[in-house]
Amino acid sequence: MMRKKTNNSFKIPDNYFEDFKQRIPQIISDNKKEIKPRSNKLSIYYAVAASIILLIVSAITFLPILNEQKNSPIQYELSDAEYYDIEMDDLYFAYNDEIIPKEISTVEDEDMVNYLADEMDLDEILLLSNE
Amino acid sequence: MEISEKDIIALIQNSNSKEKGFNLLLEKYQERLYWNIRRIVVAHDDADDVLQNTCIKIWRGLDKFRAESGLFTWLYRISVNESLQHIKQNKKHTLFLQDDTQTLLLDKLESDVFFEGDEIERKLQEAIIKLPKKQRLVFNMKYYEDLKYDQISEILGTSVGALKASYHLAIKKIEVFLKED
Repeated sequence: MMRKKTNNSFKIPDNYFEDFKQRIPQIISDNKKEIKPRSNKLSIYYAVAASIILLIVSAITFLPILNEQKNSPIQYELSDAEYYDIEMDDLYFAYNDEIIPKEISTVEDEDMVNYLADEMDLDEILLLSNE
Repeated sequence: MEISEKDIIALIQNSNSKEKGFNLLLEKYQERLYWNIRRIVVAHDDADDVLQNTCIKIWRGLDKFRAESGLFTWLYRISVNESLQHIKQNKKHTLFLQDDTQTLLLDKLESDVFFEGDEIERKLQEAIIKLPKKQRLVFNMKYYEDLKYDQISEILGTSVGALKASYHLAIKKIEVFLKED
């Protein structure tokens, strides 16, 4: 069993109780207005200051990110099917560029061949090709 | 010669001598009230605030005091309520800095410049702070202030049997805590 504690490790300022007794008349005259504990007042001030700082930090951190997202083009993820279609189109055109002869690959070239055939006879064409 | 509780009650119930009775009442009980408060709120600055508010509550309540319960019991009950209210307000105003009563009071113990206990005494106080609220109140009143179970029962509104069990449990927990290291 624990023995009864006799000494006291909690201390008080010198003459605390005498000073407190002097405050009693003031306590009586001020009794209509309850005195709030100092530590609570400080805690409220700290909480308000912390809230304001938090708001400012949040604004500085997140506003530029939000603006950047707002100004950037809309981006979205391609589905596998969409990605496959685009890839296949690219491959198709790349492949056709290689296997289709350039001279007949466009309407303009065909027109040019026909025009020359109409305007020039076969000997002239052969002569030009030999040059 | 020290004035009796009965004489103080007679003074405070007479409007002409109410202030004198109040002064005598505080002269007689202020130290005991202070130490009761100090053991609940731990730090001197907090105890000073709470004692002051307790005095205000006592002054305002003098007209309603009917001497049905003992004067001392009535004063103690006010001081306990004010102390617990003070802790509650402290917790509320530091909501995300300190998350519970134990942490709050351990911090108070750590930072209180008017605590001069050695390592063993500090550990004992930590053990007391870590007790559940009711056990802590009972332990302080019984161990440090040597109040009778009947008195504690009136102050806390708890049966004597429950108080004895609380005190017994508190001692066991403190002993276990002190043996841990």
